[in-house]
Amino acid sequence: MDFRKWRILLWAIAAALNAAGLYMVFFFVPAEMTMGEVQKIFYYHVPSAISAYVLFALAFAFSLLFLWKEEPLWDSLAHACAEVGWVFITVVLVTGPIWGRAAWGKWWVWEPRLTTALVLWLMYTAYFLLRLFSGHDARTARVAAVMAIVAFFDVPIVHFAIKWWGSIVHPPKVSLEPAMRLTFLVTSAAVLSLAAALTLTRASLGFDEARSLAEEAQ
Amino acid sequence: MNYWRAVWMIFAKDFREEVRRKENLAASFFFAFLALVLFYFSVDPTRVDLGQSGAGLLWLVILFAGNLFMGNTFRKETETGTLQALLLAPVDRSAIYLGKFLVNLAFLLMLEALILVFAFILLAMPVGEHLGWLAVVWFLVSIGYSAVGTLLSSLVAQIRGGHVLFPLLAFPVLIPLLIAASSLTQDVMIGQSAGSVRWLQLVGLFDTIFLVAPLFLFEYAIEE
Amino acid sequence: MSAMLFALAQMGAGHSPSTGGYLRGGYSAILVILALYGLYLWNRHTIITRRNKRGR
Repeated sequence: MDFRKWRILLWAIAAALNAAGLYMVFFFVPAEMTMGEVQKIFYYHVPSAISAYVLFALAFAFSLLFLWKEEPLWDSLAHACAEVGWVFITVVLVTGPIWGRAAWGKWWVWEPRLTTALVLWLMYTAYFLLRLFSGHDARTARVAAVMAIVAFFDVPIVHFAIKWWGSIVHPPKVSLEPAMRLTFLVTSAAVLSLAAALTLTRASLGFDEARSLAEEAQ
Repeated sequence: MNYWRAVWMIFAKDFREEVRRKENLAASFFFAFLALVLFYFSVDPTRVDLGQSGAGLLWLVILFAGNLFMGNTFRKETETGTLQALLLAPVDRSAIYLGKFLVNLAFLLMLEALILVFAFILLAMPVGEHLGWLAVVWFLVSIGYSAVGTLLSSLVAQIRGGHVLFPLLAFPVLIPLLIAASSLTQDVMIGQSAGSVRWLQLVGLFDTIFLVAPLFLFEYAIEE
Repeated sequence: MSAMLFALAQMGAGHSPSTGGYLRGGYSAILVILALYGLYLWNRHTIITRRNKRGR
């Protein structure tokens, strides 16, 4: 399976959007009144969280498809989505405390959404440990698919458990200035397209690897 | 063969074998006792009131001690190669899952009874006053733990050296259950019920999802 | 809202309102994470190509 054309197209879109997004973040959008400059982390922090959730949902869907159809293609896609999702949830977990340190005076606050992201990070890290411990065969793919499905089923429960357990909250709904909203839209598109480009690249690497391993086995 | 009869037979056979073999259960029960003693040494008893804040400790002990037998649910079969025989049996795969789930649930309840006694005698926790409620809460939470544990145990059993992975896979998934169990246990112990209903709903949701999903997933989770 | 108020309270307590350093730190961290992941992908790519060459 060759996605070369798509890959190049997606990378071009991602590069253009990210250049525009970063320009807007640093030179166009005004700083927020109370938090100052650091609030601009928001423009990549939140889209990264959105991308991670979308990718984990896709990993869930591809894992189900793999169990159903047993095509290695779906396994490669599920693996790629989970991995890139993990990278973006890591971005969320790193930028969150940096923002928090400036805004709250503490690196880590056990704030519900950040804590939920941490639990997701733990679950998907376990998923990669499972893959690390086993080889490249169909059994590994099956076992990992079941784990991805279990992890995804857990997400809403984790969300509510941590919401009720924690006390400090994000502002439930942020109202943005027009300039801020525009910047947020551009950076969201930028991060999502970057996530898509990375996922496709990772998935095609996965196909190549599966193919070369199969050739070697012959 | 009738479906529920198959479930019962798998449960009865495995329960008997595990009790006879003793090693998993002995290790787990002894670990629970040991961990409680260690926990007591790790806090300053003049400053920490375990009755007010010790419920989470009990649940950590249950989680850690339970993983000692739950992670090995399918290990015996994969090591002796009898898994194939079990899978070839003319029953629906989910019956195997349910049988194993019941074994784990039974052992978990035994472990919890033991921990309750220790907590009452050694740590002087107020577990006696609302024993009925405590039993209901712990039973519901145990269903969730056994349901997830049995499914994940079937995954790691198929990987060489995979039993090391069991707690690493299970504990992150169990975090919401641990939060709910600790809150509920604490509420029961200090005789407060505000907010308990939604935690019970959460546990109920967890139990339902992870008891129903494996009925479909288990067939794929374990294959020869 | 409470987060904003909390932030305001912190600043009232004498926290420096100049937070540009944290902003640059945050974006540098994102760049580092993505670069590391890119390196990992590149590394896998070279391993696979080498294996393919050896295979033929």
